[in-house]
Amino acid sequence: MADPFESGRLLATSGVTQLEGVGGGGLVPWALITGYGTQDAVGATVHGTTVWLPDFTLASTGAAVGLFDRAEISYAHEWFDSRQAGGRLGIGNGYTFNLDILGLKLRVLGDAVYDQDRWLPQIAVGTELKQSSDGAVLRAVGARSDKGADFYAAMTKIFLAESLLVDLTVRLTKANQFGLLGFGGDRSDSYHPEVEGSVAYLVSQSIAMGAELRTKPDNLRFAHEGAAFDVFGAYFLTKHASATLAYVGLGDIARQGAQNGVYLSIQVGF
Amino acid sequence: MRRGVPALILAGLAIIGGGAVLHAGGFIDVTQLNRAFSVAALTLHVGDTVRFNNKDPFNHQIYVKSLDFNFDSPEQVPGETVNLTFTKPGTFDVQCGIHPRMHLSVTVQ
Amino acid sequence: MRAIILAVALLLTAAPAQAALFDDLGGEAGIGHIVSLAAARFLGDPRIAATFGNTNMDRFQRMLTAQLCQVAGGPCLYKGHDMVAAHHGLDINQAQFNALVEDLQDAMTASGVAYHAQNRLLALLAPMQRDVVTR
Repeated sequence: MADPFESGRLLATSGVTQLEGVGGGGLVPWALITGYGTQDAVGATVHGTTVWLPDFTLASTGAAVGLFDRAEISYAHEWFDSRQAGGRLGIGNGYTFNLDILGLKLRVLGDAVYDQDRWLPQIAVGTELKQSSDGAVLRAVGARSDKGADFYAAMTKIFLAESLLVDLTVRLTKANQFGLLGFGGDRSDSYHPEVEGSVAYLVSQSIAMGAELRTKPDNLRFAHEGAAFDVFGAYFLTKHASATLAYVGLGDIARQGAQNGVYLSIQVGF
Repeated sequence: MRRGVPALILAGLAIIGGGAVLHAGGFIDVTQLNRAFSVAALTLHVGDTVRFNNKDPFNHQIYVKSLDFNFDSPEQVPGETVNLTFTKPGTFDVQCGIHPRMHLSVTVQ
Repeated sequence: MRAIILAVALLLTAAPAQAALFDDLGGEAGIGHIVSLAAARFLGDPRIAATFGNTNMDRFQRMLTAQLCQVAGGPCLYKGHDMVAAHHGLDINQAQFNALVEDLQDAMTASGVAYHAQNRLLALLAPMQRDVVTR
């Protein structure tokens, strides 16, 4: 019968892997399912991402499986190295926060590639279940919990005639700095709807360039948190390997000032 | 004895004549379905007609190419019947101009 | 009345854009060349070659050329079957459809068609996926 690992989808139509290990752009989860398996097959990807910021280093690695172009399961681990800022914050130089993220995504409606004659985008709903291992430090900065769940709905549309991909994602979250600084806080402990979006221009069959924006809650009194953005270029070498380079701004983190830096991600898979 | 011979000859002629009437102008029905003929081979007599009925939802076509017998129909829409009368003896390969794997071997006696 | 004027205005702006695609593909001769290259690729592609086993490739190329010419805003009239009838019973799956798209992309690249013009053509062909993929 058909090959269950056939990598039959068209190049670049699965996006890349975002920071939390979910298929999408660099910061934003998209409605696309990771990997290149069509509706008759499965695909999988592995990613490694590093973000060099002025006062911190953020890294992420993980794996994701795409099932029949319908469902996606992902796992990622994030490290957030506080470097010298750790000393300034009283947690020690080089103190590293750890975050585990389990992602589940279900495509519910539409097809980003084939629905070129309809306005309907490809729509997926998902959750990111996050668990931090730094409970004591998190409580010290005012976080209410060391674990939390984000819920999102993503709408992704490829306007092929314009060589443009557009995504709008709405996320309900309590996460502080993506969950690295815990969930909820002494300023607010309720779910906030946050808006995320990506725009990408398909420069060639292998290259996409774009920008993203992601708003975040501001739950902690000890430090203001703002929106994150990036400007990226993604290179799809083959269906088995891609690389994304971005200039990223994660906003103020832990009173250390605006954290703008370089983001590099490699993805391999099928 | 001599009176019986003309009767025998007449009876013989009647049988042969009747046989000729029976054999000339026979009809055989073949359908085209799923890009295939309903039979792979047929044997018939000179003067017989094969009626090809297109039961597919797309066009077919009928042609025969040989040294002494040729036939070429226009495209045959779904539901349409093409009649092919074999006027020469021999073995012929009936094909479809749209679907090259379709073959019907017709032996004409 | 305003709706009619707006609709006509939109159609007038759309028609030249599509006619421009016909030119970007090299006109009817260019499309014929693309189709010829594409057909050779289809027959050499192990993922889909078997699908063409019972297809008269000369007729297929004429049909595809007319269809692409018409879809791209050229002065052709495609008189072949609709996509459902044309692909009836061929049991084509998603991967096979995509393989054909990739082969067509390669043929257009080999013919010197710019990437963004390729996407404009594919945008017009993409909705046919619903009629062609039956498995």
